Amino acid sequence: MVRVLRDLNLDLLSNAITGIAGESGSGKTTLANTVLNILPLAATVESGSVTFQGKDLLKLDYDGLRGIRGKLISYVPQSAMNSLNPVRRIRDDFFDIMKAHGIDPDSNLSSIYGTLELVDLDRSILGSYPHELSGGMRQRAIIAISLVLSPELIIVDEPTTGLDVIVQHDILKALKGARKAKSLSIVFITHDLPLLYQLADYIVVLYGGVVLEYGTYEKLLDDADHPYSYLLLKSVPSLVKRTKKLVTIPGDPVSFRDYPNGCPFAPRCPFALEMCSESLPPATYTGSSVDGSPFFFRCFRSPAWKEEIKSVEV
Amino acid sequence: MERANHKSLFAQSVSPIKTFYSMVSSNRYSKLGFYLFLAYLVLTFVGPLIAPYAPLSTHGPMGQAPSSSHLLGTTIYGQDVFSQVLVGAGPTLGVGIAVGFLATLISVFVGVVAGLKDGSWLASVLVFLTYIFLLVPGILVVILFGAFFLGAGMALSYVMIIAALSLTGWAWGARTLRSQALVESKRDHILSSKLIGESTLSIVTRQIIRNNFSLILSNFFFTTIYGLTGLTFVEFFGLGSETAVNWGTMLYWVQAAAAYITGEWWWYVPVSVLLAGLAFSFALMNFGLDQIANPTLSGKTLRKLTKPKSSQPSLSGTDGR
Amino acid sequence: MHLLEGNDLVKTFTSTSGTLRRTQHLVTALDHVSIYLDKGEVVGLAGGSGHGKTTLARVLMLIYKPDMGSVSLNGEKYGTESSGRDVRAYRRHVQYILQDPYSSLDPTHSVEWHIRRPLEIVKFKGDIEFRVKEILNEVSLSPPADFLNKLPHQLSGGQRQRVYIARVLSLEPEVILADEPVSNLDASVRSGILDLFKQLVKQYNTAVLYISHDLSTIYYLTSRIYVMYQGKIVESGPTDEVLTNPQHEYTKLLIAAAPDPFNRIS
Repeated sequence: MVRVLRDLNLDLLSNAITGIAGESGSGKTTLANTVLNILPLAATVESGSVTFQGKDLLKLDYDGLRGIRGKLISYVPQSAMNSLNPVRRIRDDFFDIMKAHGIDPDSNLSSIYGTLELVDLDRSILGSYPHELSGGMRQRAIIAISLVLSPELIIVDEPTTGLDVIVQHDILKALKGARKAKSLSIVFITHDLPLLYQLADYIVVLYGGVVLEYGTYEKLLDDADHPYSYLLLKSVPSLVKRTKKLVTIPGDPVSFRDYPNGCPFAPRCPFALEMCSESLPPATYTGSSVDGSPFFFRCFRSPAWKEEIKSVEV
Repeated sequence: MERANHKSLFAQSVSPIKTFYSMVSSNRYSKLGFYLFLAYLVLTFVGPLIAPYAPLSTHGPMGQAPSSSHLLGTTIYGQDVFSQVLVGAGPTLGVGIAVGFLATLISVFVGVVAGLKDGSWLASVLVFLTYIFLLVPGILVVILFGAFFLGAGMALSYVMIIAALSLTGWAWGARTLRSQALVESKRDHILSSKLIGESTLSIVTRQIIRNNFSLILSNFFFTTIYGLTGLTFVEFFGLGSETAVNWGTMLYWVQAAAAYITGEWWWYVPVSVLLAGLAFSFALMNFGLDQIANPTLSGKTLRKLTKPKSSQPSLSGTDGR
Repeated sequence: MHLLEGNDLVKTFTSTSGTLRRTQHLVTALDHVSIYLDKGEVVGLAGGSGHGKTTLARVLMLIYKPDMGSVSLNGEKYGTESSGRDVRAYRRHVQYILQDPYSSLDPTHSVEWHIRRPLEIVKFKGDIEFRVKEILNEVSLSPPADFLNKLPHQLSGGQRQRVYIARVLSLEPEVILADEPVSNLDASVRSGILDLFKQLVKQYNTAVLYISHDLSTIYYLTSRIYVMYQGKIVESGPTDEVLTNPQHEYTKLLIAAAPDPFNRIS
């Protein structure tokens, strides 16, 4: 039996972009699947709940979930752009999702046009087949399709992976624009934490099935509480900062097959002490946002580790 | 980011030896098939040594049911059925395996070269040949071949039967191996070997054949069954040598004497069962190999796929994702 | 005379499109591209996907034959008339690091095999076993004994990439063309590979052409840069200069889109 996520408590804010950063083996896709109750058969939720608009999503039956999926919560899984039906035009995909939720597409064309505008796509792509569009355009089309029912929350999983850097930039801008134009909450899941600093308002750092830190992007950028967040930032070159020296985090991301007992980052952490591997650090709350969502980090050695930075820097 | 590495599913076919070993030890179907095959192998070697009578000698009572002196009774002509079975095992198994081996060899050569050298004239020729031979109903051709010889007063020797069956049985394997080689040759790790300076021969033997070994082994089992079937048909139609003793010839004599009408069941039932059993042992090993090459076919996962899903949190199961 | 030179390279591909009425398009992947590398330099080749970076790398590796132009190594020309043997000789000196560490290693062979084979092919005159372990140490896969018999699927992405680098290194090439070597790796593992490149350049005085669309990484690693757009080199020069004072529109676009924690999207 393998435990993929543990002790996960998150209160995500609405009308914001929350980024969830998790490398391989962190459990980020499992987290997304849990929220939407689409876990694979071999996985089960041992305990806990997922609350959305006052309802526990894990307790909903099939009809209840259908009412939420696509309409209130939209999900764009990894490589969604590669799963567009190759023999259907883009407009058919729009029509499908609208009809499935009882909305007549022909009298609601403006919603379709609206979403296309949000992602900066021309209306002509509606008549195209997926293979006629570039990867970036397909990805933006998928995002548009998932926005056409005006969901309150859209969860995107690795929407920019494998795409050209300029296309990636366009998609990030499209998401930002969408959030501003509509009252929309976005959860952006990626393995690339540095990307989140560009886009997200709030960042969740997931590692080894545990949330190590959750806070505003400014906090994580200037004064991260967890060594992992800090070291990861220091291991990424920045053009703006003209980086010429990088920190390397030793080792490799931990797979869910061998999560250690204590803090999952301890084996790689230069500041770790014995206690770090013995038990999972409890959440230390660091104050909250405007609407009371608690931000926190999990680290026994914080803030003491900040004094020891010099000895670690290359 | 780590995505599911599908090749890891095939990692068990790491080396030919490991593949064979894991096939034989880890999967219960192939284990059974292998033990069954071993039993036949023993029969092949031990059979002629313990046969109580010369198989073709007609000194016994004619058409007698099984008794203490003739464990499987006698044929219409007074021959001991049991001795015939024991002595006939060798050639039967021998022809089957020889066909399997030879045909697989041809299909590996044709398939891999056609795949690797895709676009060249050689590949086009090989592909053309493959499709021609694929359309030809192998056993029928061999029978026609034998009939032609019969007309000229000659019988097909084992060598000719093996040759004819091999030459008609390689096409299917070549086709699958070609498509494998085509895909494989475009893979990064093959490009890498080319860039490092590996020779084509080395890439073919060290990588392509090795990577596809379970497929090749499976092809061998499949073709061996074809060889057994082919031999049976050829002999059944009386195209082989009259003095040959194998399970196919036995059935020829059975039908020549219409024993299934006259009721000498001991003459044809045991040998048919044994023949089917031999083919079955290869089929089992093949089936077991499938399961190793693609673990998603294993029974465990099948059960999981049919489990009804409820949205209530329940006790934890196995491996999450 | 430069160590490696690509002179006026042109490469076109024909692609057919359409289902019923098939039309052929001529795609110019390389449009009179000239590029050079000198010993011990790390040079960047920047540009988005589909602009010709990988095609250029493959032409420089003699995987594709250029339609026009030539590739020179230490002054010796290689082009459309080069024989198989010439190409093999060339590849002793110029090697290629593939992008995807999940498909560049043979899944049925061990780490040891991957590094031993190149040594056997060049008929290495020394203790091969020892050299394999030495190289594993150089790419920080230590202790080597732990890794020798591992199969690719038992290794993480970062480790696989190191094995691939070790494989290429065993030939001790003078030039390494690295095609997006970290883009398929986890974020926390990338800096290790980048620093490995720096270390190896120092150690072996190899020339490295670092191909990427990530200008932040290119700034970190390279001293010179080429920017490719639609098959042409649109800008080149010392990295610092080009990225501080970009002249071409596309360069400016790449700078604006560079993945960078401090480059906030408003």
